[in-house]
Amino acid sequence: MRSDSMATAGTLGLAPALEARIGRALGWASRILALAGGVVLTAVALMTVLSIIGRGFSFAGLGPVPGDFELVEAGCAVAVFAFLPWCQYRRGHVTVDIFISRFPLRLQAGLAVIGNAALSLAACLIAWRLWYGMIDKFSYGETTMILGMKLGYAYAAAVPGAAFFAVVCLYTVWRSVNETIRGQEER
Amino acid sequence: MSGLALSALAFAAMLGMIFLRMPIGAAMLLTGFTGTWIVTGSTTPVLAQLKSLTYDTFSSYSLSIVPLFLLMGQFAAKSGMSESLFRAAADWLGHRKGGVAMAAVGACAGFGAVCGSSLATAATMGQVALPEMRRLRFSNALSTGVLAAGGTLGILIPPSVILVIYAILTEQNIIKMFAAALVPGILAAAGYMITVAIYARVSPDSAQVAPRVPYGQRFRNLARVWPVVAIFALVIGGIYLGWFTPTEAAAIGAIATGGYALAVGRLSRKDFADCVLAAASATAMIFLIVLGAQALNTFLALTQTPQAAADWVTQSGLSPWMVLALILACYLVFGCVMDSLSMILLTIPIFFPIVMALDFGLPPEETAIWFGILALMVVEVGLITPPVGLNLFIIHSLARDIPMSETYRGVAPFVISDLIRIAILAAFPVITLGLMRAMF
Amino acid sequence: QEVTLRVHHFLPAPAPVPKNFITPWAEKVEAESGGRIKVEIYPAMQLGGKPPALFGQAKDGVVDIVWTLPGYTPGRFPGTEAFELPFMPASAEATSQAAWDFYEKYLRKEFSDVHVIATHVHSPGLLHVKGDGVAKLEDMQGLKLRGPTRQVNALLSALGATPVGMPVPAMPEALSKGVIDGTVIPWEVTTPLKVAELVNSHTDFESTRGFYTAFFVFVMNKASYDGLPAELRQVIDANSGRETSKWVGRVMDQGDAPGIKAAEAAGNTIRKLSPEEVARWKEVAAPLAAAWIAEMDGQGYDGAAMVADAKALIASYAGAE
Ligand code: NA
Ligand code: NA
Repeated sequence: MRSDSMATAGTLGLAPALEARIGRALGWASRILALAGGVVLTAVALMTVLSIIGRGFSFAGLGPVPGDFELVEAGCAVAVFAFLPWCQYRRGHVTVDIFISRFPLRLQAGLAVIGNAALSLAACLIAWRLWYGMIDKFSYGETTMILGMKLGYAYAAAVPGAAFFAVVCLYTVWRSVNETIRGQEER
Repeated sequence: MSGLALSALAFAAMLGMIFLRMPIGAAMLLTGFTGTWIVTGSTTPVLAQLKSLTYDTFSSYSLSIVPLFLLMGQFAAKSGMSESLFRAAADWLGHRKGGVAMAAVGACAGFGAVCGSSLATAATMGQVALPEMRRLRFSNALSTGVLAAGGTLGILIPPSVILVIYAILTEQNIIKMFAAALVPGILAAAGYMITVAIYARVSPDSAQVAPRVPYGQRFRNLARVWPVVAIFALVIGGIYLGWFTPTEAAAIGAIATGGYALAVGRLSRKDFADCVLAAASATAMIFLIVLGAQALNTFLALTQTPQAAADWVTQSGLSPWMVLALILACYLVFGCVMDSLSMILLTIPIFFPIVMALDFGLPPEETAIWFGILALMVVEVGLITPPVGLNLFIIHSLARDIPMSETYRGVAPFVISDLIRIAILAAFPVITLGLMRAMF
Repeated sequence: QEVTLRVHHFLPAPAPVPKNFITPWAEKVEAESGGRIKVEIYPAMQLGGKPPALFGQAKDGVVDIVWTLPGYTPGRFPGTEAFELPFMPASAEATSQAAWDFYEKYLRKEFSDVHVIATHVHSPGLLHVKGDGVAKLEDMQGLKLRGPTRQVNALLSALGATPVGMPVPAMPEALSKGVIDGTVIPWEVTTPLKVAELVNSHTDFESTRGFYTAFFVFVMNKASYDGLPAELRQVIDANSGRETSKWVGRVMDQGDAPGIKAAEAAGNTIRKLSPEEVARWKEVAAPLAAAWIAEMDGQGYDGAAMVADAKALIASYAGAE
């Protein structure tokens, strides 16, 4: 199935060869970003385990990792932002397909254009406003409670995920336009 | 336009978008944003709130359980725990009529104890148990049906991602919710086993018998499930013994499961990447919908819809049980076409205030927890009801040659078992609340 | 009715401040406006976001009015910390009036993005700890305590404890799991969180000035305020300022009684450290004020004058009690 559509990929659509090439690059980059998020998440889990161990041995002079709660919050947020583009690239955002499953394949693909365009709108809003949120946090010098870490940095670490999510969403609009032209989606 | 009318219109528009296949998170976000814009008459509130809303939502300490439990489930799937669970269960039950199918239910329940997601449970156990049942010539209907149903045990038995989200939405204690879910989860597993037994009697050709296994081997294989027992004891036991918070338990669970997979040589760098990417995709999907629910809730609060709906129901003169039955029926209908998480996030802001305004002769906290378990049960039925049942699709993807219609047929008895269980749990709240009352 | 004002805050509606201040304040404003103003109250973060986002919501016009703590956004309102330094506060009623005067003198610039309706504090906070609790300074050593603000966390560190930061809703669970050994809050807040059932002892201080307090503000979006017709602006003005701040302070003081009653009912130890013991604590805490003064001097304020003024203002109102 994959090889069939690959064969047609070069023939139909808006700049199909370019779309395929950009798609591969974006897929690679979102994979790297998601893996980086996974490393952050794993690090957060490890830090939490260390904190629990430290707490358990507080009689021996150890203690919890300072600011463990705020590190979990910031790490989790950065990881989730980093996961968004990969999910969209892999068509992972959940949809209800039942009512359209009897529609012609081309119409189904056309509806995906609308769905991806709507998600693009939301993703662009999110990224755009997050950017201003980051500027706010930096300009007011807000910090976290325990570590006194500038909140702006946590926002800044989230911005690449949000911005890249918007880029991948826009790309998926293009991808589904071409699939509509070709007559069906690649699954 | 009144607030209630506006939100009804917005809901209709949103469902329209969802049924025309817009990603559910996007439909919720755009409906929430547009609704807030209309109510406040200005784009400022939406745009200003969005400066911090996304980061605030994603950086929730309690929600950080979700990616950690998902990662834990992925590690558990890689580590071979699923095989040892199924092997052990099949050794003990396989020689009975339909015993291997019962073993699949038991193994699903065991895997559910270390995995917070139904889809991961169905996918993992399906890979292990489906080939075995097909080799033994179980009918296609029974083998796919029992695995799709068994997969729901992933979320009915704690830890459970959906319970975490319900608890956060309704400000309930996650630990008490897990305690309340345990007995209903075990009842679900027992119900599925009984269903298999009846299935085997009614349709003897569907269910086969595996050769009896000597006791020595049974105990050897049983001993191999120790990692599952140890991790469940550590994670859930640790929460109840007061060693750590649920989020910390999820972190420990993820590290312990990953560490075990690494130790048994099943977590190469590529395996780790696979686990991370699978957890990443599921996490992103869930958090986008949670964000959509936040945007939608802002709009609903502005229109005062939840209170208005609750007032309307209490003044309607319907008895509390009637209202509860209607709500549960509503979930069953929606469950035919929607996934469980979206349903919970979409409906709880409306249904929860309604339920809390009714008198079931329980204290408010118990009503909240009991309703949460009932809601969880009904939305999980949605995973196995045709036409859209994500567990059905997952099992189908593992055995493309089995027509979907056979799977639909095979899962039907399990849906009936679910409905009977839900009716019992609704009629006797003590089954859900008893353990929790005893523990707290 | 021609204007709707939306009020957003983080507490559930039945808590003392929403019940005995925000709601009556809203009703008063509605009545005095002759029905031209309608106030809608959204409790418990119903309109979305986490509590630290509240100030921004008022500033940016997500809502019209919020009730929040500047301390939720450490670093953004350094001047308010003058009232959060150790052993500053008298009763909330007295200290809240001082807070208003202090705001007029020093904090107008920090709050220039919004229209301030009231500034106040809670009644002095104290220690709530599991086990034998704290009878002397040495007992603080190694205790894991949740503190509400940056200054309190610094104070806990100075006293030998380990500050653990977490959102308020996570606190009861963390207490019951031993993630923390105790918490530092006023009596009033112990009631909704059922702290009395989770700890065994409470340590207060026999001193004319309490252990610590936290600064609160009730602020309005600037454009919402400026956009009101003059008569309606007067209604808001008549319900702003020192008297309004005093009102919230009194509500906070009155909120303490149920908390004390619950602790007694739970059979907990309630201690009051002797003046001699308190003197030792004050000595250990003294460098914090000096550090804050240096920090403020670095930002172009006169930190020493601010602390001295805050103390004098509190004394002037507390003396009249
Ligand atoms: Na589970
Ligand atoms: Na379904």
